[in-house]
Amino acid sequence: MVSAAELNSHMQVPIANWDPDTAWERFTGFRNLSVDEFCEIQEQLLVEQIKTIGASKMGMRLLRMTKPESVEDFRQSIPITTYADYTKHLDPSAREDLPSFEYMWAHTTGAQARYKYVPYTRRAYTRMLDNLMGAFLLSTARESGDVRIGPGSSIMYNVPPRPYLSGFVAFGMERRFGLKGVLEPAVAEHMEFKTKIRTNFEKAMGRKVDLIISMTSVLVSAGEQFTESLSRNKKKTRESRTKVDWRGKIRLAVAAVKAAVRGRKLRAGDVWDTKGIIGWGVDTPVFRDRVEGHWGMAPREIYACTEGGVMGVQGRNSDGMVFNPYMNFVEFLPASEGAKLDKDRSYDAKTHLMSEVVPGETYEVVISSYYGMPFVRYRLGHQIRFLESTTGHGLPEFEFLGRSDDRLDIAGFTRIDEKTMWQAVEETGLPIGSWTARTENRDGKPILHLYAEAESAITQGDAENKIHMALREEDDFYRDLEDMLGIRPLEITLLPSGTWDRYYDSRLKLGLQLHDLVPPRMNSSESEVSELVKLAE
Amino acid sequence: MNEIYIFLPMVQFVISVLLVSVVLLSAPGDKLNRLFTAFLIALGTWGITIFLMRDAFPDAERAYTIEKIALASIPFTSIFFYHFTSVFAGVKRNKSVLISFYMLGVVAAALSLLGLTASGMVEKFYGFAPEITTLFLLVLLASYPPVFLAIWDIRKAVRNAGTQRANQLRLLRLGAIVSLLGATSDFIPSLGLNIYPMGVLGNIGFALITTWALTRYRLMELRMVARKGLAYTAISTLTLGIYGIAVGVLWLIVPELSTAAAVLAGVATIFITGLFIQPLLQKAQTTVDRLFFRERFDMLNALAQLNSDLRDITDFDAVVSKLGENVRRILRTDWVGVVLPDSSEQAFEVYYDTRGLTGRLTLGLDGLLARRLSSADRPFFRSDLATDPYLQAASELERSTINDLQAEMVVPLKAGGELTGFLYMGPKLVGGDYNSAELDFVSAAADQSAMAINNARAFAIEAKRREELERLDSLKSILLQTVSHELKSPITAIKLSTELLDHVSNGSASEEQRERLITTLKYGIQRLERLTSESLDYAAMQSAHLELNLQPTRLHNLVEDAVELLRPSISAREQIIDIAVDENLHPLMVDEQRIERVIANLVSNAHKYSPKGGLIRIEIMRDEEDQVIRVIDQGPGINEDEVEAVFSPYYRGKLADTSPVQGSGLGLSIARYLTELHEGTLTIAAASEESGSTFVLRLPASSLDLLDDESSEAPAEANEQMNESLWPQAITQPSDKAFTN
Repeated sequence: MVSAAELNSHMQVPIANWDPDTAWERFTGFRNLSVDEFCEIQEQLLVEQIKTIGASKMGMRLLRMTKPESVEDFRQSIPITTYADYTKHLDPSAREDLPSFEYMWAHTTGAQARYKYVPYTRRAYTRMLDNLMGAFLLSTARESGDVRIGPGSSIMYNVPPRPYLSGFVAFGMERRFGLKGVLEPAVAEHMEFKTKIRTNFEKAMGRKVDLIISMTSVLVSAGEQFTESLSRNKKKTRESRTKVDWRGKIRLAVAAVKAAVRGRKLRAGDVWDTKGIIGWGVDTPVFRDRVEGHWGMAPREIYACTEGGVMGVQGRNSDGMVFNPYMNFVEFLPASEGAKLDKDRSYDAKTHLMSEVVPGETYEVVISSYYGMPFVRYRLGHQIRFLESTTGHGLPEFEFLGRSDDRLDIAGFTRIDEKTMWQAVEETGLPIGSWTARTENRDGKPILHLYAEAESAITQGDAENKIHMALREEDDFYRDLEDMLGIRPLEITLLPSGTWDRYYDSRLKLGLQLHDLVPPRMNSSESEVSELVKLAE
Repeated sequence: MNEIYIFLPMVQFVISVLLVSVVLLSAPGDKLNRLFTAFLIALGTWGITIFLMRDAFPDAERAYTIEKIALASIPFTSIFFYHFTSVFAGVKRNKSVLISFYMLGVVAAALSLLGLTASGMVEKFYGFAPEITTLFLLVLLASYPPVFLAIWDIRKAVRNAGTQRANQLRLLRLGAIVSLLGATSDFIPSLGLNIYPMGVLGNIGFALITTWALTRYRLMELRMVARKGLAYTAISTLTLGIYGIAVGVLWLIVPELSTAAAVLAGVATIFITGLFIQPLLQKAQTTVDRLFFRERFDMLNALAQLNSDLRDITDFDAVVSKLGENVRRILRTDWVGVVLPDSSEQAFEVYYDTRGLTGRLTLGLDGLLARRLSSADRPFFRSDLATDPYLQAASELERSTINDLQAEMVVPLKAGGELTGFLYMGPKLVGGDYNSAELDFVSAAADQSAMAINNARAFAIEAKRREELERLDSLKSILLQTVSHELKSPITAIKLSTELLDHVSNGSASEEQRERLITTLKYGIQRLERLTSESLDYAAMQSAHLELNLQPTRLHNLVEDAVELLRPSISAREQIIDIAVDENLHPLMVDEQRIERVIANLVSNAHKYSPKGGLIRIEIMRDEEDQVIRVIDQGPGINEDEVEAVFSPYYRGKLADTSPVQGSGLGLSIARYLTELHEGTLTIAAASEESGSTFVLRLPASSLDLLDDESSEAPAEANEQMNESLWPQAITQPSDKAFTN
């Protein structure tokens, strides 16, 4: 097995030749490509990729010993794959099956908490950073062409550490673009996640922060804590107040004056006067308004994952994201075709290309890597929906719905995704903090069981009723379940505030990895919910 | 009082007025220009009032009246400058700040005009200075903060600006600081410190620096103003001169001429002279124009010349070089090249380059670069490969091609809307970027030449086709002659043998005689068979595309098979075969049957031409990425002048008629053809009659070599290198056969 040090080793990327006059066009100009141009770029890079990986053992196997010369050949002759097809090749300690490149290994957690190792070539990694720079520029711009960040800009990264892909970006963005982390990347990654976030905000009190890239829920929670700390009594404030140096105090004072002039309460955004915020996670659109309330600006979304890199970005005035043509060859698997493929792996599923997608339809994303990375017609397991209306750019806009395997399957009648659950919980306005949902079967009856942390007093009946009604609004099939079959599947177990913190702390003591420190939001296991319930008692 | 001291403010005024005219003439409707004009007017007002105030010395009352106007204009100089800077630097600020400054300026100006900011004038060693009141603070408040804010805005804007813009902004900032220091020195004497007021000098410096900064990158507009001025001055001088001369001459002839008559006579003279000197005036105008627009003038001339040259040329090389020479001369570039599709219409080829480069490029006609050139009417630059959203996806092969050509700018050549090739240029000899006039020129030259190039190329292709047809026709004649000659011999032998056999069948011949006749018969039939078979093969190769069945093959296996086939006759002639094999060779992707045929032909020739008991040496080795088979015989060798001819069809060498060796003369032609299908070469390395011949078969390595499990050591090093190179396989491969068959 490969050593942790090797797995964590960071690959050096070339330093970008930064020119603010051309940066906008260079990193965000792809949004103005026509669909035809997008497809031409995709084909060119795909043909290159086939040549690159065709010479490796893994490539030959995945390409079925064929050498497709066009997109059509490729789609007809190569089957759709899943991570299982790569397991034996993607072993960092036995890499002879891969094309001959230098690799940087990132990993993510797949089903049953098994690691998915993903080898990044230098070119793929560089491209991923460039795509992220596009997202940075878009999120900080006030208008098209307005380049407000560059070498020396200060970025706050509230994201998981290496070897998660998100952990590599702080290193990469510093090296390639000279963007400075509020915390030194090498220092930050050795911090426990919660400590890192707290230290990040503490340090940011004394300096400017041009951009925050963060898990969106962290932004909400940081904003709430900030507001809360201001409203506490003096003694308590002193106890709970974060360490603030003289510069921070000046910043606080200026922010207080600013808020007073504008006739409203002091909020986090007044202190950390950032130019942009990028939200990381499926809950970003759900929390958009709350983040804006605390921070004075809505978070911009990016569509990224370890296997595919940074694949999509959201514009300043766009509702949805657009795919970046340079990262992967993208195909879209209609839900009906995906279901057939799930039943029969030999089924020849029909995918759509960017030029064939239908607005309003839901698709699963299938990618083929570029630049010597390994994935060929690989099902990411991500559900996206193309929007009916776009903001006038050349490419269709889409929204991310969640992971396919993170859906709550209720008696095969409906499959509720994470975003729908988020929206239902948020729309009720109930003081619910963390939550996890799973399906259970009791006496042959399907149950959608929500374990939720009540931040203040609420009754179970009230919560069940409100969330049930919200789910009816959000999901037609869920509504039909009650209307047609008379089944009302929702059941809620309310847990006291602090349960998730205790869960986190108990797991941390066991030395577990970050992804094991909190229960998954969707489809948590029996043992995980039992642990939560036990800690709540 | 010092005259320089009095007149310096006038210089400030004159410079301001001149700059106002320049700025307004260049783009009167532009918001930035209007703001800058407002600033210059305030500066000019400041200058003229200070001049009048100083000129009023020693009249203190008059000086005070004028000073009040000067004090009123000062805040507006700062506020207009701030307003202009915030727009120029693209700084978004709350409008209320700007409005506040304007309001403060109005109040300060009103107070100054009412005499509330200065109560009178006091005499200093250099002249008058205002006696300021407490309310003068308002003038300072309306003057200093806007300049400070402007300097702050510029500082921020410089950070995110490109080089040129950053330089402009820095100059603006320098101007503002110079003016600020100067203005401060103006107020100090009023506070009691006797120093010389430097405000006017500061303002002059400010106006000059600022204007230079703004106009530095708009030279054309400035030149236009100067050109117009110079032309009008020249014409006016000429006209007035003629008028003066005419009047002078008339006055000399008729001294009593009245003034009215002199004017009338002068006008008439001007009118008449004007008619005659019209061509002279035009010439003067043209000269001035040429002086100022020499570049454009030369460009238009060159386009006209190119048009005229290309009209009558049908010689392809001449058309291409005319285009290249003209573009290089006008744009003053280091080099220019012309790239067109090659004869296969699959890839591009350099047909002309002022550095002498030629050859096929690894740049496909279906790649992104070609598509962009097809769809765009404008050139693109090498730097666009990094920034243009479409060109960013250009393959490494495409990028390296542009880099290898050292092409700074690439211009599409399009005839009838279809891409026919492209023109590329190196950097400019004098440095700097290509300007818009140069881009217009090169685009127009490309448009103009594309059709001519297309026609000349079509003409050249047609000529080549005709040559090919003539060659084929000649080949057909040779074929008929050879075939008839070659057929005659075995047919004659068969005929004679048959007759003799018929004759001897009566029993008059011995068993030995009959056997010899039958052998001759068999041999004749074999020759016929071989000749027919090889002729058919050759004809098929010439008329149709052969498909290769590529598969990993070790060359030494093929050599051994070929030798094995010939083993009986080699043994019969007691010849020795020596095979030397490099054991580290990888399998190659080749068509096994066809390469075996090539090897068999080479071995068979060596066997046929080597003497009895001679040595035939076969070496199989690696040469860089290629694999090479050398077949060395001890035959009579091949003359130097025949080393290429032996590969021509039906060529059997000068000694064919006397040589005992029989053959169709097609074997080597077929062998070379099959080799070239594999992107390889078949040549004769050493050829002399004494030492025999050495045939060299060279086959390129395929990327799939690396698949071989046994070949772990050698490729490992290559793989290390590949890690640093982005697309090593794709670039270094001479062929993509592995992927296209």
